[in-house]
Amino acid sequence: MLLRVENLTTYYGKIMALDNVSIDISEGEVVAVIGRNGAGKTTLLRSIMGLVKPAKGRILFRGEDITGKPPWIRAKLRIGYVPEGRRLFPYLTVEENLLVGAYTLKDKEEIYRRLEAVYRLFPRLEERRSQLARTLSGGEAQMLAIGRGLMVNPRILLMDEPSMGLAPKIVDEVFDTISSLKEEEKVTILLVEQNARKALEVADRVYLLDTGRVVLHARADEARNDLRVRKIYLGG
Amino acid sequence: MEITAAFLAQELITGLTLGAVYIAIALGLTIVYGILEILHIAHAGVYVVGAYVGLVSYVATHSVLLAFLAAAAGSALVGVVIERLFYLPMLDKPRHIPLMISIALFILIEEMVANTAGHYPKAFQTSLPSSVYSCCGVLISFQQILLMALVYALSLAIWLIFEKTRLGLASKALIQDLEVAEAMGIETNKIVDLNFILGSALAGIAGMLVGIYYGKISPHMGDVVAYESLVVIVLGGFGSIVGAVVGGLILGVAEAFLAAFFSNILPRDAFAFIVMIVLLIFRPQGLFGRAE
Ligand SMILES: Nc1ncnc2c1ncn2[C@@H]1O[C@H](COP(=O)(O)OP(=O)(O)O)[C@@H](O)[C@H]1O
Ligand SMILES: [Mg+2]
Repeated sequence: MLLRVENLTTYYGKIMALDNVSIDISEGEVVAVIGRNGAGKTTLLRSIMGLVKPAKGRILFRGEDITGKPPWIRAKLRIGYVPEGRRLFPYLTVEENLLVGAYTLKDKEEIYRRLEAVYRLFPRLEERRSQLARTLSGGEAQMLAIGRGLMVNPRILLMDEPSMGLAPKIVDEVFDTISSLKEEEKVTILLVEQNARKALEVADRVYLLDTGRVVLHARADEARNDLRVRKIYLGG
Repeated sequence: MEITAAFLAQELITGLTLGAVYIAIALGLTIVYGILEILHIAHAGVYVVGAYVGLVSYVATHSVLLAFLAAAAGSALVGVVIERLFYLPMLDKPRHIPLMISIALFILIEEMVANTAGHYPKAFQTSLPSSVYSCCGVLISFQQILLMALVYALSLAIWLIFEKTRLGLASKALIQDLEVAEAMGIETNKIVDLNFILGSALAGIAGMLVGIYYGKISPHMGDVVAYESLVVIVLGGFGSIVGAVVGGLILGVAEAFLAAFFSNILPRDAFAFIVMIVLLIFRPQGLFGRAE
């Protein structure tokens, strides 16, 4: 098992955002976590990154308990993160954003190779390498957020709603990228999405979250017929 | 009064020297302001500490270089202790709380210095040459040259650190999005420490430089400095290195000329605020700040 989340309970003050959540993901898999707005999807990824402290439960990465470790240790373990709403560094250039993504890498050669790999995946980013991130279009910004998460050559990439706020054509591009990361680069991906239909097309397995609880865990092809999943289809 | 080229050049030198003093203090302040966005009024206290550590070390060692190093180290220590004990734990509190703490610390530091070293000014005489050079009717002293050379070299070094190193990249990332910076592997506490160490060391060097330049130091030497360094970084744009340098220069030169032409009309120390207020009306983000 690459990543295992065991009985995780997370609060914001008195609000319980996650209630005894357990999920796991093996190397090479793409696992989707779907659920409507406020279900706790972002909180799950933030807990895995160490950005919120869970009240209860454990997070195991390659067998090691990382629950209490600070976020930068996660980066050192090569957990890549694409936050909700992209959260680029607006006043850094495209290339500087990528270099921050590679902050834990010490070897200049390796950083250069990663930069090449990301530019190969997103040639548009190379064209705009010395532009400030804040000048990018929504689609380009999402490419950069994904590219930044890929800079560490992640053992697992956590993606939080990469399709949020994008035009339908761009959403398709983003999901094409995710497919090619899966098929060609063999990247393990934990994908959080409100766009259940699209998420189920690329995922192997899926967890459905509802008010902080896992209410369904199934293979992606089975989940498509589940009534609760279909409700989410209609909702968003 | 006859206005000659030599007279103007002389006032320019006075202005550039004064500007160097402002830059020395504001450079450190803009670094520590930039990193946590806390108005670090106690920075002027750190500057006073640097001046006294510098004097004590100079008396003990008779080495200007060692005294500078001690001033930098002593101030860096005080700065980073303030950051760890009082600022980091207050980051999620409303902004006026760390500001109040900072003002209290400034007063506390000044009183502690006064209680241990005495309320009255102390002479800061060194073995540095006191020679004055003259060229085409313009005078410049060795101490002015030393002050300017040191401050402008330090400014360049600091600029290079923030533009060309990993520390610089990490600092900028942290300022723009602390949480994501952490998730990307930046040990943010360490980076904040390093910024406070660097900024406070600069304050220490500034304190000692000003002490040498004016030949004396006092526990209250930070009072006007506390306001004026604030003006310089508001003028330049909060958190901007280039802004602190340009802001310091403008203020220094403008003050020198104003004093030369209208010394009896305008109070010198208040002038800084008039410049700042006028500028802020037209450009709220300062000269080199970004409009958010
Ligand atoms: N910073 C926060 N402070 C307080 N409550 C929060 C915060 N972030 C999220 N919540 C609450 O926690 C719950 C889960 O939110 P979130 O994880 O963002 O859901 P999702 O990503 O599925 O939309 C929601 O009820 C939300 O209102
Ligand atoms: Mg969310």
